[in-house]
Amino acid sequence: MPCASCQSRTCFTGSGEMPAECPERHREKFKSQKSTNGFVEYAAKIRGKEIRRLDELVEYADFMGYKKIGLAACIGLHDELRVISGFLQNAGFEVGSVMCKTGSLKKKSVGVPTRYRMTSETGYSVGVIACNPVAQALLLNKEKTDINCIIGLCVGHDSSFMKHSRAPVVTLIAKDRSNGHNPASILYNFYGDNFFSRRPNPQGAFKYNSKYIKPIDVLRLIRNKMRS
Amino acid sequence: MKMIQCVSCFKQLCVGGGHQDKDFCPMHVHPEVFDDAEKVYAEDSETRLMAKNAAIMESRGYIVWPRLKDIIEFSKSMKYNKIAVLFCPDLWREAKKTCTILSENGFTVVSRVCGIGKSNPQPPDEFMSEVNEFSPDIVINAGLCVPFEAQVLKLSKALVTTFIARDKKLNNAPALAVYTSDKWRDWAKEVYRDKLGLK
Repeated sequence: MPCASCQSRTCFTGSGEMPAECPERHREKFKSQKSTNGFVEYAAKIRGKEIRRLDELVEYADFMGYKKIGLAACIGLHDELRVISGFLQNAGFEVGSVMCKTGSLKKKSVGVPTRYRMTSETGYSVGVIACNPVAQALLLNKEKTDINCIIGLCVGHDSSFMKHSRAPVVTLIAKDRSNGHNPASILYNFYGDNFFSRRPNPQGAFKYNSKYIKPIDVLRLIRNKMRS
Repeated sequence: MKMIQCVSCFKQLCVGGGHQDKDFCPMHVHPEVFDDAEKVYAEDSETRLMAKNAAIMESRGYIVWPRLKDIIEFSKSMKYNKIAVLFCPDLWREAKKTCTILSENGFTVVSRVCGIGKSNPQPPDEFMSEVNEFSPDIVINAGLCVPFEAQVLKLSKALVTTFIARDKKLNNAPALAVYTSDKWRDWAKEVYRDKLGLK
């Protein structure tokens, strides 16, 4: 199914020749008899509208008759969670929210080695408590939410949240720590290309790596502090 | 009944191992759920491995790696090979580039455009059984609209992760809805007032 590299796009334009490997040729094999209760027409209408994702969520919840919305957020996005939760409450929903560090699960107990625990390899503090997406999903299951929204969960955590959540899951904010929660931005610019196509010089990369801090760096830090 | 609300919490004691004795704190209201969660971690080896590898991946590229790099490294550490990319026709360009980067990193990539909006539209269950037949190890959502995402991702047999959250008005950066809101601006004013020492 190489849809991304398709040139003709016959399924949308309705004209022209289909490519040889087009999955549209085998559509009959997967035909199901389930009725969708007008969902397809509704989704097609929403897809064309130029509205924000938050408004899309509100419209969809109204369409399905959802009352309770669960929010699963990262601890680093607490302020964003406040804004979004307030917005959804003003829109007339019951909103429940859980942060990712709930339950205080130790990183040691899921088998994370010591060198990845307190300080990250890039030199920042990350703590010894692991995120707990399973508990987030089970808590929101217990609250019987109709739809769950992810607000900035990391890559592995969002998939295990989706796996254990009973209600349908929607991602409101995809987390990207280096690009201000705009993960698509690396696809548009020169530096995004560079990040994936070139290998960094290890000598330069050492500077940002706590493992390779040398005594001279510490002395330099102290000297700068004394000057200021 | 009042729901659990971590929004109301400003101490965030769970980061250090404690909790608040208030009726919004999940650790106070439902303490038994956490035992169930630990049971899941003990029994389900895949979930346990995911929690471990996600924590390692977070530590390796904290604040430096973009999300696509996170996905690549996480899939490598979980030994995933087949990746399915689902995307919206509005994001064809982005999906093409995503697939190129993923296949350059040694994955078998398959991509499927969303069925809504076609001249012959495709319901969610048909769409997902088509993707499931390929049996991918991980499914990447590269920009599906909210209704389709909510219906489709539940039906996936493989694990799902999001790369792009589609936002048509704010150019695929839904977080900007928060950062450009009046409330956020007022907070920012307060913060800068403190930092710059203004009145």
